[in-house]
Amino acid sequence: MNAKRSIYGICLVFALVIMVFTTAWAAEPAKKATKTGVLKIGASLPLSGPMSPWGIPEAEVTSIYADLLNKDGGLTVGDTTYKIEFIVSDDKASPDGIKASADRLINTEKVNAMVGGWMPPIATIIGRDATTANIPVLHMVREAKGIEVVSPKYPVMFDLGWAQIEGIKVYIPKLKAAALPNVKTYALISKDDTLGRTMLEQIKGLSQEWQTKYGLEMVYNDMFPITAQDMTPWLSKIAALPKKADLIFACSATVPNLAMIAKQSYEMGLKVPVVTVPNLTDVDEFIKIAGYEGAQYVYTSGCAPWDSPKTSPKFKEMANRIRKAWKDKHGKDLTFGDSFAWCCNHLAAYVSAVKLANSVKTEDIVRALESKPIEHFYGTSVASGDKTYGIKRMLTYDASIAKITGREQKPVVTFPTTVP
Amino acid sequence: MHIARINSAGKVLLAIVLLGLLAFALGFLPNRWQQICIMWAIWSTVGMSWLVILRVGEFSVGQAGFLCIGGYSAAVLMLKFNCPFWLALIVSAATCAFVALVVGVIILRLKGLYFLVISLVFAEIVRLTIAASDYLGASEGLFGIPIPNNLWFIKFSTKQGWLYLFIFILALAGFTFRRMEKSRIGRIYSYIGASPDLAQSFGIYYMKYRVQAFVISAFFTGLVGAAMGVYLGAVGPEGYTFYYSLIAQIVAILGGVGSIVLGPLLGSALYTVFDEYLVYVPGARSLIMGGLLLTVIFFLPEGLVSVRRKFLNKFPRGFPRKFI
Amino acid sequence: MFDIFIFWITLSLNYVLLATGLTLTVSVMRVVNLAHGNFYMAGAYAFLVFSERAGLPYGLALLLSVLLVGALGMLVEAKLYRRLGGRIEPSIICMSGMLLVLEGLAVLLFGPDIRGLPAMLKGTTTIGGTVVSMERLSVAALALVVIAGLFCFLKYSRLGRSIRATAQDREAASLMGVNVNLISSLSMGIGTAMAVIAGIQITAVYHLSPYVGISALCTSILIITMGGMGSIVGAFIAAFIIGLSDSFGASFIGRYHHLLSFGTVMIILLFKPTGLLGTTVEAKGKG
Repeated sequence: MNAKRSIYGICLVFALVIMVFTTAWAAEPAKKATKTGVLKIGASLPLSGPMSPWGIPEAEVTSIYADLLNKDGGLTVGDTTYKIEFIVSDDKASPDGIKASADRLINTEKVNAMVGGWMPPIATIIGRDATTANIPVLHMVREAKGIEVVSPKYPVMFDLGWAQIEGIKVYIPKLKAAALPNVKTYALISKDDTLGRTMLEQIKGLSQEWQTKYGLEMVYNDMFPITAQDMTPWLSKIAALPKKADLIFACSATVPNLAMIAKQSYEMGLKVPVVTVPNLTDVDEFIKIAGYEGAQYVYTSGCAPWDSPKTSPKFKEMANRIRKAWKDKHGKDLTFGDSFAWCCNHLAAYVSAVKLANSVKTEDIVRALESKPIEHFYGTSVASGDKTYGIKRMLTYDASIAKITGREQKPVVTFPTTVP
Repeated sequence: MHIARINSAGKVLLAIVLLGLLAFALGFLPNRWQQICIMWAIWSTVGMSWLVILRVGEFSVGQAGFLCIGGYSAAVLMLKFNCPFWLALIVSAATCAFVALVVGVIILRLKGLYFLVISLVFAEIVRLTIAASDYLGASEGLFGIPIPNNLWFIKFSTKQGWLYLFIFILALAGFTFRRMEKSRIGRIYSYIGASPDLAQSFGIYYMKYRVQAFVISAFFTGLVGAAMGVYLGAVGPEGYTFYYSLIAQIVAILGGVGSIVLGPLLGSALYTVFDEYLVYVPGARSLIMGGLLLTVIFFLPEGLVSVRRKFLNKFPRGFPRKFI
Repeated sequence: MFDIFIFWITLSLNYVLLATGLTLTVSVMRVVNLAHGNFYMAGAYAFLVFSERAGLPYGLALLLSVLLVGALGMLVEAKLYRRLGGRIEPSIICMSGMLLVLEGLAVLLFGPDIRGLPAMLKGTTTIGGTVVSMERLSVAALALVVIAGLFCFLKYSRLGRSIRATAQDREAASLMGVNVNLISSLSMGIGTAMAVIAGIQITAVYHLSPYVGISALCTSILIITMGGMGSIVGAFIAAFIIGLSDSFGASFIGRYHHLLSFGTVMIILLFKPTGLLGTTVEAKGKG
């Protein structure tokens, strides 16, 4: 009995010793990874001037994301743990400001990568400097014209597409299937800027397919100037159409544009759903601008990762943490997470690419971005196309649909809030 | 050797060599300061050109229009006609001068507040016409302007090369304006600026000189606008707004309108350095800029140029003023 | 067609409200007040504070913000502008400085976000089979009342006559015993107050942000240039012409209607450099 017990004891001691050794042996490489580094990620955003209502939330959401990544222990590549430092520079929304800001990030701050969402003229300004410095750039670009101009010359630029453009393909059919089965005709009204023109082209291209597939007919399309405040001239044309439009799709509409379209179409008695994809961060204020009744007709693709079925659970959790951090800071919800679609999502894609490449060298990251599926807040994207370097294009963003539902009062018309 | 013994041509040569060396040295500054220097040279040239119009007594808020025409002509020439950079630069400036001649003959009949307003309208019309033209890229602008070929040791793929180009344009403009002011034309301008009618009664056909000043101003603004368009690699209509015209006045007024070369140089130095470092306080940016303007207007009405004189007056008479 | 007609009328009356204040200041001060658009914006923010943060009723909040920002305008005239001796360059730059300072203060105090203001009246009504929003109608009606009031004030009251006299000939008015400095401050105050009323009404129809001032300024400069600087009737007519291009023009020509309004101004100035009903306004500092 005693002998048996002592054998057990010896076995136990041996087991313990082996366990300790194994742990020590296993812990050895982990101990090596105490080297730390900093990965600087730059973004050039309008923090002052008329565009700042769009730039500031974006900068904030992305820096919250970077903080959370650091809190989780940073990014381990090989034997080095990197902290992510997100640097925003004010581009003043003017061409010379953009040049100066890109220069500041690339040459003074010496960033490792740049993320952002710019239109082609601006992207080319940044792309030129980034190419010289051999820094990977992840940004969204419209598909139509910009990409051919940018891609062959600036091989470090990667394009993750844009929720607005990618979303269109699935957006209206989805909306029709889920929320508005009676919609047969739609009117397009687009802002006369790069994005608006591209979206208009895209939808015109899709219109034949939509007509045969879903029975959707385009009855009107026109553009309004960037400076337009009042939408009455265009809306009154829509109201006077021989074939009534069941839905107004506003391309590239900013928050004030959208509010005006919603408010004035309601006032003119059109009372049709107004659909768009803007960056609505403050719904209460939006209701004040558009009026409560007008706002009831607004549908927007929130593009919020916590709603998107394509988002992986890991990213969904992170998105919710960002949402909570925003709420703690501002006391209100980051209701429509379109801020995610730009810098923040491109930062996520960069982090994934670094993990896949297991290196922070530009060449390795570029190779990873080209060859492997990259995971981010909106699912996965693969670089498609036959060019050796860089962009052709990538993922399909999955657009979720959200609706401004009743606050204070009962909604005038009730639609489901989110569509799976 | 005593400096005073060198004759005046030698002095000028010495000054040119020294300034040239200084400009060359600027090319070895850290990158950020090179960028600041480029913006400094651009806005100095624009401010000087603006002052030429002020010399004949008119307050223009239309400089953005000429920057826009210059930038777009260079972009069109280089993108659509594969024109070499240097030719494009000169043709763009000439285009601006030609537009200024045609427009100037008409709008310079107006004076004072009316000229101010119509120059604003002119700049807006230029911008809106371009934004409406599909050939010029409409609201998207033109982009992907190629980088010019190297010129001897000046590489346009680096910031240094552009810095030298802009400083060369600045020197060209400064030299021209300085010579103009010292010559007979400068005196005629100042008579017209003081009172056109009086100048007319002395037999000066003032309209001719007003248009001349407008054309010269447009030429240099267009030149710098064209270079700036190629430097940025893209032009778009939303860039050339009222703010650009405002900057032209701000740099000239900050520096002092009394001196056609030194004023804009100083004013633009203050403006660009401020502008660059205000990115750290984006929220308070316009407040600080506005405060700076008001301070200069009320406490230094003659601009930064007058600081030296004010400073000198504090010293006793016998103080060797030559060295300050 | 009729709905565009109604739109033209209401939009033009908006413009009238916006531009009359500026034309009054120009006639007396002889310098375009570049900060006009930002006083318009500042007034709307002041109203936002009084009505939303302090919870005052609509009329009281409107009155308080008009008085507050009007007093600010008078202060700017008396303490800043007057010291510049009426020379054109420093005066314009001083106003640009004010423009930037007001914009910066609004950004610092309220943030750059876009906001909505409560409207005076809500709902819609029907005129000749066309639905019109009460919001727009109330702005138009208020514009008419304010313009009529201002017109009567300038025409019949003693102070109004002094203002007109000063606008016509400053030295002569001064010799006739008019306190020219007081009149200058007063006209700036009235001009600013009108900008504030316009701001509160128009930003309720559209939206409010610290950057709405510039576009308001451009519109009002266009109007007073076309109508003749210093002429209230001219501004009234010009507002309707510009309104024509922004309503019918936008509807029939489309997105390039701005060219129409700018082109019209250019053509009118070429044939009549002083504008439709203007008399010459010369800067004081010039010969």
